Amino acid sequence: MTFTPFRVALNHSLPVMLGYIPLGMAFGVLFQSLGYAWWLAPVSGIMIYAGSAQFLAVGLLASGAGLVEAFLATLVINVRHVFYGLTLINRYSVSGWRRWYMIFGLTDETYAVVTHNAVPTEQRQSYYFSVTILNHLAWITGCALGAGLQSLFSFNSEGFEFSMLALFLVLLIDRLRQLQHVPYALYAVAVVVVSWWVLPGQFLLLSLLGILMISMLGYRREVSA
Amino acid sequence: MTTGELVLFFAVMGVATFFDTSSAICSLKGAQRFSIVTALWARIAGDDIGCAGWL
Repeated sequence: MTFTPFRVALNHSLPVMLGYIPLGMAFGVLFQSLGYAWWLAPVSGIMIYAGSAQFLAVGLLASGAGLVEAFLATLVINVRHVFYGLTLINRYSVSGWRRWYMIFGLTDETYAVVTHNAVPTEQRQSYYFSVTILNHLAWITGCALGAGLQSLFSFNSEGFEFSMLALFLVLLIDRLRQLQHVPYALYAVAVVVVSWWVLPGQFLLLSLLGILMISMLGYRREVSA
Repeated sequence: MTTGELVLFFAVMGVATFFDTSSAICSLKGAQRFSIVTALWARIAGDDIGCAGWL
């Protein structure tokens, strides 16, 4: 059977896209509360494309924060992408503007899709690019729908944010079905629990560091075996 | 805030998002040696990604 990167990417990205649209709508609705034109919500989706950072942007704009504060806050909130990037250096080997777009368009969910699915080497770059752009388009669509609908009919978006949790659960279940390294998964759970116990407010970064260290040590062990 | 200022605000946040992905830093030829995290990765994992020599 012929491997069509875009079609396969669409198939794999569909759960993410279905999660991004309601979440983007929640952002669009929230953004409208600032009183700006509705179309600026999808513009922010195009230019920032980071869910948590965009929700943060609403708070920053409401409080009158400056550009430096916005830059630093975004840098800190997305610092986990450093760890994602480390594992993608060799994967994102395409040259030109597509590479830069793929780096910009990396999100938690896009990372989960591109690292989870095995694709033929020669089709990888097209596949990664397709996943990135499909997810981005879904996010922009959600932002536009939320802000546009809110500008027409004011409605309560309470509960929309649950779509993100549901999305992660779908991705996790899919991942668990094909789990190969059970001990590492258990170590990761243990690291998260310990991090939560040690630093409840900042557990994400600490647990990412711990999981990265375990992964690297495990990788070295497998290479030297 | 005017529309132009708002777009600039978005752009600044977009640039921050971009820089957070270390692959962006490592993709810049000549800047690889400045990526301490990548060099550490190369050192610990033994993965040849062009930064191993730095440490």
